[in-house]
Amino acid sequence: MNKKFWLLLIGLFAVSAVFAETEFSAIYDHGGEYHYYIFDWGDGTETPSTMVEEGCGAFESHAFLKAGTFPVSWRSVSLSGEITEWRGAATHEQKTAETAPARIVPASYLVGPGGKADISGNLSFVADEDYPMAWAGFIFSKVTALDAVALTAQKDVPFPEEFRLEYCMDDGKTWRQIPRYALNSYPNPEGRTVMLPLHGLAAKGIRLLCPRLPEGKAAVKMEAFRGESMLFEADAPEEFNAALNNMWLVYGSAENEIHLKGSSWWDSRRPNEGGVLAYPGAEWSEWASLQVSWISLKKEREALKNNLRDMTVGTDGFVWACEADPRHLFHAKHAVNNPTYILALHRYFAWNPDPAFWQAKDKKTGETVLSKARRTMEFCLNDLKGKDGLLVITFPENDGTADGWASNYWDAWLFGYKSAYANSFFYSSLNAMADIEEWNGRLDKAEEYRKLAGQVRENAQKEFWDTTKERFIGCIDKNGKKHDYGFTFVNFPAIAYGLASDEQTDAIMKWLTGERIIRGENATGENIYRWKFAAVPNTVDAGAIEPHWWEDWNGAISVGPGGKVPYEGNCQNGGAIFYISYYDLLARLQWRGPDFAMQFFNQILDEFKQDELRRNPVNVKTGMAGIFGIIGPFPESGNVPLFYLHGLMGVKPVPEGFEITPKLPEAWKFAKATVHRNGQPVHITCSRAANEVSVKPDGRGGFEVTVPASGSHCIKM
Amino acid sequence: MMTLENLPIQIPQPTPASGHPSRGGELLKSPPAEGCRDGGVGFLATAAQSLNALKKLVLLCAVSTALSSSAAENIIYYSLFNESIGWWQPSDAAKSWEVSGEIPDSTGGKALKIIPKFGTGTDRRIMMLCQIPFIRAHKIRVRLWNAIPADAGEIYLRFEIVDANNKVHMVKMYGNTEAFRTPERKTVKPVWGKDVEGSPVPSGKWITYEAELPQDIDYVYGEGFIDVGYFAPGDRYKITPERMIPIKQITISLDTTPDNRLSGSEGLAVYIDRVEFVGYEKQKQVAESK
Repeated sequence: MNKKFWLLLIGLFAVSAVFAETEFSAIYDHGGEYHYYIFDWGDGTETPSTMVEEGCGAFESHAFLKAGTFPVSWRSVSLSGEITEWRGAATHEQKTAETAPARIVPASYLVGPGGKADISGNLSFVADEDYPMAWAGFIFSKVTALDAVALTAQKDVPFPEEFRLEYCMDDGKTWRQIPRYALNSYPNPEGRTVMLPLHGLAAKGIRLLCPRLPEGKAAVKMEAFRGESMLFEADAPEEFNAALNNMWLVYGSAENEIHLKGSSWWDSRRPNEGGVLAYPGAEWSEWASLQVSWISLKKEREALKNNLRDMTVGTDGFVWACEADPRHLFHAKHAVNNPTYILALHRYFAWNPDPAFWQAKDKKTGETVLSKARRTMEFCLNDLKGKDGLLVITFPENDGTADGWASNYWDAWLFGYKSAYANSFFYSSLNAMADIEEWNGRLDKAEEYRKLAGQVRENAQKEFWDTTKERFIGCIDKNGKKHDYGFTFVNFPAIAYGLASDEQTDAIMKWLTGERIIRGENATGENIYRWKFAAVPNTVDAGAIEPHWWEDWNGAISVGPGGKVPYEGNCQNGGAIFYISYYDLLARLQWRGPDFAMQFFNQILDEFKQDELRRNPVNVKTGMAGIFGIIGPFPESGNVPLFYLHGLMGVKPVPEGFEITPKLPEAWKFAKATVHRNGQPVHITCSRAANEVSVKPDGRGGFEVTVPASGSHCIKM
Repeated sequence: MMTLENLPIQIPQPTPASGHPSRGGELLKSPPAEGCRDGGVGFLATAAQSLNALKKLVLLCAVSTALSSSAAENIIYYSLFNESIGWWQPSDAAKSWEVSGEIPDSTGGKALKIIPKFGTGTDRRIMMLCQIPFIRAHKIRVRLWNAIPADAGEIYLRFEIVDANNKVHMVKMYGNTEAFRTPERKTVKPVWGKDVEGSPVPSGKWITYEAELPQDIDYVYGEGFIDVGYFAPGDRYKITPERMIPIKQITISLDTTPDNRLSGSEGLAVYIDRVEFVGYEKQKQVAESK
């Protein structure tokens, strides 16, 4: 074995007790190739990890269904079929058996070319072609949340070396690949059962597809196991619940995706891009908190907490883009980092109200979280002049002119100086900071921030409002010039965060839903939703106004005549970024209620059902991808399914428990969700049949909370 | 220390054919006496040379048949045609572009259909870039159907790989197949802005092109495009006698000559059916006893 491998070899095991499962890790380097790990759990089963890049490790958890002592080990398999020996043996003590999930009895089986199956789950494949695409599987009697699929080798017949696990929602007409289970060079499991966790994937059927059969034949016994109840379950057709839950699984928890870095906190390189849990950077921190604070995955909640604790806040109080640099992509400082960080802290604590959080100390500097939060707000108030009633981006380069630099997530647009986008976040962060100060006993500061929030709202409503077009503009530059391109990503959050007045909300929503047409723009009426899953980010082409108010990254994404990016050619110019739909849905809910919002939500879910929104097409003219921001480096896509939890169910976490204000569609009798508060599961039901609030233990360490479907309810936990 | 630059380039020897239908089918066809294009073997030859070639082909077929059962290839990646994900990224000389299941004589699966838009003078290259999971492969194969009639314009193949060190390699691709691995029969490699060299892609047939690595690397030039967030690792990875550096991207270019008559042509297409990476023989190390 090459010395390099030995020098790079690190075999380590980290055992961390998780609420229901125990987790292990492995790391190996095949010298540059992508690879995956196989964990032998020592209990007669093994599990493959996601494919990873060179030198990246992987974590897998396992539910031990028997009590006892188990030797756990792992090996690594490269894409070209290099397989290591078993490594890293460790011993796991399981004191009490985990609950075994229930096996699902299929309703029927289906086969494709070269495949055979029976109702007991015996699948066999035979072919004499090189690419038989042989498959077999089964259909369930109804849509079911799947916990796992088990594959057991059959006697005297090879285990499939190359296989894909796929699911369907339509009795076998359309199959979708489960990304992490497309494996080559799979070694013979030597009598072990291969467990493939599915993390609650909702499916009507499941199949095993063997694109190639190197030995001409293969066979397995396949069994499917039912998960607990769906994470989200509404009184709606099963297809709705399936699409909602699967959208969360792809873009929220991302548990079945390929994570090439071995972590769901980073996106994977093309062509393996998919859903991502969250990003650890400041600008994404509020969205990370939104998606991670309440989920069942303890490791990820801990990672979020540590990320927030260790966020780099400079000596001046500016929140850095990442640990390495204050600037976004080493280019420009984004002033929104500061209010975003405060919102992230607020949301995390509301879900995990441990008072010790505010005193947790940064690993590098020793500063407490509370001190950071206060300095972060001070920077907004003083350096960014927020105390005068509007946030002003005072960095010289971010002056809001066509010669300036971008100041926020939308880094092709040259927002700066007085930015409507930044002030939505600032306004919301003032209310959040007021809560934080109140939670920490400084009622005077809380009052001060709430008052200032009111002033910011009033000023923003006047300063950024276009009385002709009746919408919020983008920003006012240092010379007083207003810049507006019909930014939906400014107007939707302004409504969702409460910056807009009722009259302004009405005008904006009429414009965006086509009831009011603003003539002469590139997108009007229905065209604003040409992509179906989200509105366009801007209704006026970035190249329409000279000088271009656009960062073209040294000509790579130039706009205007002869430019590389026409309108509709980039996710920031006429394309679409999915996360905006979260704010869009909340705005619709606020404007015209749940049934109106559901029209768009159902449209999004219909798009999801087509291809799980795994879309990243290439512009034929330019050869560039990036027309849509859905998969890959867009973890905030996971915000969208949370409209169900925070919008329709109206669940708002507070340190004492919850404030729940359901807004259910008229046809629904109930809506349910399982969340985690301080790590404890809470099963919430909003029900038209309930007359009063009920909180009781679920007998498994969690709680069941039931609230009436109307009114607003405070629940103390 | 072995580096790509000082690795001796050996003349590859014919190896037994596998049972792969796209290669085996055409390998067993005799070329027409007059030359290459319609015979689908990608070389120009005089009648005499054709006869010799035919004899060699017959002999090789006999050898191949005898040995075909002994070398099952470790094909490790093939499925690159998911249009909604857009794995393939074309240059702007692509007039249109789709993944289609309706391909003439395709042996299953989907194919990429490219309708080039070659302009006069300047647009003479259509380039398709595809990022792939990092794979160590010792052989690459790509299968093309050129539906553009030869009298409308010749198309020439250029193939590049980018390795995990982010270095771009020009690769000699041998058409149909290793039986014809002579310098005259390679399909190489026009230089930017100058006349093309080598042999045109025959029209009207599926042609499989193959390269062995690292032997068929013609030269190395420059750095590849660096994705944001992924930094060039320098010369971190080394070629060894047993292993090629992992490949992370392939680029297929279809070039025309300066006097081509293709500009303005409508609906003429080239299809790419399959890209295969052939790995090294699987190495299963002895399992430690537990």
